[in-house]
Amino acid sequence: MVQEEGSSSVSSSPLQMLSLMSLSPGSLGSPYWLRDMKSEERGLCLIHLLVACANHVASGNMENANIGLEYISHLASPDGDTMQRIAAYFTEALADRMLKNWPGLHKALNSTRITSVADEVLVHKLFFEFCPFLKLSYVITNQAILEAMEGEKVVHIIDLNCFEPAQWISLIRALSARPEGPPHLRITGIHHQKEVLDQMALRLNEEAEKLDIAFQFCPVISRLENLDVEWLRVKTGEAVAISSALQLHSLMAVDDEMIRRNSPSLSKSPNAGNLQRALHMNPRTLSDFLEKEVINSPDSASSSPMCLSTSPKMASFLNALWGLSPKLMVVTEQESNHNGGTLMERMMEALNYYAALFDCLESTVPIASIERQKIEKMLYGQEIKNIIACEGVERKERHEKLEKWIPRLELAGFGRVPLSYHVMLQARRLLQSYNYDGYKVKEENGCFIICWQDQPLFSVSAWRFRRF
Amino acid sequence: MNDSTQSGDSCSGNQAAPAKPIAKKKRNLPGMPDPDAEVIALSPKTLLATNRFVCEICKKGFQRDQNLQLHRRGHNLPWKLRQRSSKDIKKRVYVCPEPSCVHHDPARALGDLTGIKKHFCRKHGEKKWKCDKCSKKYAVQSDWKAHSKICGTREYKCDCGTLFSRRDSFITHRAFCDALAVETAKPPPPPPTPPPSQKDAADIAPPPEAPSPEHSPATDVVSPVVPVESSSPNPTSISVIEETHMTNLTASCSSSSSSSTNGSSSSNVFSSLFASSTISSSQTTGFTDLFRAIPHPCYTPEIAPSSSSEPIALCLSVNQGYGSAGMERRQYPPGAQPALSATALLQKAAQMGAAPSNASLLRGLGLVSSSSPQQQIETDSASLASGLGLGLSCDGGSGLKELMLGTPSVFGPKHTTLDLLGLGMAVSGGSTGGLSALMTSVNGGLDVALPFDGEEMNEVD
Repeated sequence: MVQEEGSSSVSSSPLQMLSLMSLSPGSLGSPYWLRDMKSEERGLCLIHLLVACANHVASGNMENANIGLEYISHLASPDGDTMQRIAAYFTEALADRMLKNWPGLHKALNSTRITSVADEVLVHKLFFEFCPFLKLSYVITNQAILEAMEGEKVVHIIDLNCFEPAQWISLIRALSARPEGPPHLRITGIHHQKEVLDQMALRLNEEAEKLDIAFQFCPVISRLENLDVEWLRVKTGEAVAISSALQLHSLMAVDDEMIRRNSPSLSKSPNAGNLQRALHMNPRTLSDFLEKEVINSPDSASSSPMCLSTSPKMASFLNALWGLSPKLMVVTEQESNHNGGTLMERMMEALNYYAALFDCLESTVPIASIERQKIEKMLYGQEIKNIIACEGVERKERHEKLEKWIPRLELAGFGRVPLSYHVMLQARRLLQSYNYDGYKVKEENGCFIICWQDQPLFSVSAWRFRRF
Repeated sequence: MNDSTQSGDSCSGNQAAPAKPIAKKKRNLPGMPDPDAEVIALSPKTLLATNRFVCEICKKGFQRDQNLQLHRRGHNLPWKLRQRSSKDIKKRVYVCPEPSCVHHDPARALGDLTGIKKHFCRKHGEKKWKCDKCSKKYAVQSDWKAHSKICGTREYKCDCGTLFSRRDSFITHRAFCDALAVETAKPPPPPPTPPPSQKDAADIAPPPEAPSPEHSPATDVVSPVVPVESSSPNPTSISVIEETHMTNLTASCSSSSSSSTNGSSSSNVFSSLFASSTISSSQTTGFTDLFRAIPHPCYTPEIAPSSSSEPIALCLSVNQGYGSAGMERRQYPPGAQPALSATALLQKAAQMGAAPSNASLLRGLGLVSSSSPQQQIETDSASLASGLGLGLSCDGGSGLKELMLGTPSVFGPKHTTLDLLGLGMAVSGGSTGGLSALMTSVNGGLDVALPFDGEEMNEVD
């Protein structure tokens, strides 16, 4: 248990000093009742404090929020138990959000931050290795591709975030072993860092040479939002498969304020574009669509389905992908709603979600290690910070549940491809082979949900080009 | 160009001047010679001959008489250019002298003398011209020249490796390129077992010894979950798909991870755990083995693989298989309790009405009292209070509830509503929030909490 024993009071306000001192009579350390807490109590305490603090931040009550943060700082720590660590990152996010009220201060504090490319690459690799989620996603994607491309002679795979060679190496092996022989394979990898793609090219070409199959790797160095599908060079006659792992949600980052200002009634009434598309849908999907709209809580404006297509970036991107007539598109996304309009909504969802993620990471890497800390800090921590502290275009981690993705993708012209029994077998086999305890893959309407202790964490669904 | 034949066996007409015809020559459709044209059969010698007109002075050879005449001018010799003799030109077609050739038949005669000459050379002649860049040979010099101009200047390359100098042929090829499907006559690298998509069922059966393949290079890539357990060599009664079996496997494997050896030994264990299945070593189990097999050169994990104790303690759902199997709780100091997982904590907090679950919290914070959870809260917090010693609150147990709901405490001495952080939502007690509430509640809490505290500290939980 890590508790800070040092002097806790930094503020100059006499009232605060007083309050703190009164809490711990005779001692200048942290309030006595904050010490010696068992971890469970402390955890519960942290939860309450976090929620209360977030509430204050949301309502603009900075003073109280500050006090809250102060208390939390006695209990939270990036080196403590799970709840302590979670609290540490959440409070950092909250503090970041508060600091944005002083933009100059915020910029000044962040101006000397050094971002190392190698570190970023490393943390993604760590996430791949220590958590099964990406592995599961890749296994499911690969098996789905194998099945969809049966009989195809020219296969073109587009990876929207190409950084892990293992995924495609395994696909190359599987394709080269299929009974009708390997197809002519082309993989187009998109990433914003050249080094990653270089490494990728090396490994994949090496593997293809070993197996002597016709293979070509085309790197595209670009961020997803700047991508022009022309760069992908899709040719007529080739069968296209698209793999999107935790990428699509960032395209929903829009200037919420502007949208809300421009179309105040947007959330209430469908905008024309949507309606038109809705009319083009076949009756079954339309009714599903409308049903979902009713079910979704009408309160949260920006999460109403009618706002689904208002992100122009997302709509145009999906349209462009649709224009490639993909035979298969596998979409993996976080199964949680972190795109609520209000801070508290997001706070609650994020607390539950990241608690599960921290827990399962702990179960895989129980001994406190630098790797776990890196994943927690540089991956989860950054996501949390983005969800809590950022707004508008900056907020890229706009995770949404599968039930929101389905109508969005259907509107864009994709039809669902149910994931087969064999795919599920592969996924379960992976879990077993790694002895991942506590994870489960559930099937829901042809899509897969990867759960930890029955809490859904990631969703994997497969789509195809569909003519209206 | 018409030519006067020397040794011809035909009835060729007079030499016609090579002057350009005034009217455009009518061309027959290819393959269909003019039915009333004159058929001329020239001998091979004639066809192959070049430079039959020789200047007597310098012995220079010319293919055409006209050219020779013009050359003779240079020697100041008398020269004469002959005009085209007859007014209306008789259409002439030529047949190939080679009997086995298609064009031997007058019905397939060629309409042009140069054409028939070239044809004869190409088909029945010796290839005397060779390209110096590639090894292509040509019988006709003009063909050779044309080729060497474009040889090496190819512009289009299909992905399958074929080169094209022409755009149209390239495009056509590319759209239907299946050259490689044909080309790979080599059998694919022999897998010991059939590919996954077809034969999954079969695959399930074979790897009974171990749920998955092993790979020696797996060591550096292996996830640290890998249990150090070696005592359960056949963790899988393989109806491997079943969840319960999975937990059986993992349970037995993960249980005695007390040994929690580091790095090296764990890798041995891991490989031994899955050692027996050689079948699955290849790609049939598809992709799972892959992830382990692929070494990550830039990264070497150093974690001691052992599964955590916490989920074991707290697994809400997946705990069936945990029987005997030497389930020792791993490694926590005696007397201390393994920490609750964060999700369990959240659920607990939610149960208590504090609800870090979506809407209820908001309601709880915003509203005064939600009576429904109260009964539950009382019992819960009663039990919790003793364990909690949450001096936060005025009175041990209800503090939590109050924290969230902002209602007056249900049991214990009533103080001004908690509002530790000045939530300001409390109705009773009138403390509005901010520091004042903080002060009052805390002050109140001091007195009451002490006895509670004293109690809890002795509890072992």
